[in-house]
Amino acid sequence: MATYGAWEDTVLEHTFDHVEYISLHTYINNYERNTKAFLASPDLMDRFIEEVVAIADAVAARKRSSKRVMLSFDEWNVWYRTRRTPADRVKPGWPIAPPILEEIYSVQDALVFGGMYLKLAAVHDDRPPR
Amino acid sequence: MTLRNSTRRRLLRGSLYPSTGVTVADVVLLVDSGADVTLLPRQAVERLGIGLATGRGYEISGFDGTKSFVPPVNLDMHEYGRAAAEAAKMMKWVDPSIELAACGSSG
Repeated sequence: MATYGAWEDTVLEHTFDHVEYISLHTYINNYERNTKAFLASPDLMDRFIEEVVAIADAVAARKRSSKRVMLSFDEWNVWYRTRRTPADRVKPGWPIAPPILEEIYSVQDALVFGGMYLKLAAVHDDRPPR
Repeated sequence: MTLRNSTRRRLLRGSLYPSTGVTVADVVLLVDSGADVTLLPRQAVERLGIGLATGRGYEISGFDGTKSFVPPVNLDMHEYGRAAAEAAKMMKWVDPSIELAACGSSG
């Protein structure tokens, strides 16, 4: 979102005493058909994690608090959503378990998914994202 | 989060959750209240004193293909933060053992 950074800071300013986590989401795609950039894109998650930790700790500093807000990396994937048209996804009537969110993936997508997983498994100081 | 017995009893009494006749065991679960767009009953919007934004609307498409139009409201980050803090307090009154995550901006 355009308010990234300011959003985390302001929302934690209000909620700091009442929450244990701040959530992070990352969805990656290759609409630009740039294989090198796509395969390297999980690296963006390192910076994202470190920036949100820094913002959360800055809020703690302003409040003179030793509390450390943890990270809830609760949404991430390689996700396109548009490889099938809405007409393909939504059928008339009340279909049982329609495949509205299923994707058609390539091996390249799978490599990036694996890269994202490794970024989440990596240790970031004392705050491994959950 | 893990629901404690007291919460489960309250849930099963029907004050927060309809009785299903299913025996509830300890479960760890993540309740995700965040979304790009959240639907609020008009009555709730009026009670919160949030003004409707003008000039735009959302088309809601159901699984069965039916469409409806709803007006948007905008919460800035301060309003969201205050609402989230109040919601967090209420949720912990129900069960102090739960852990809560504030919604980030998704980068």
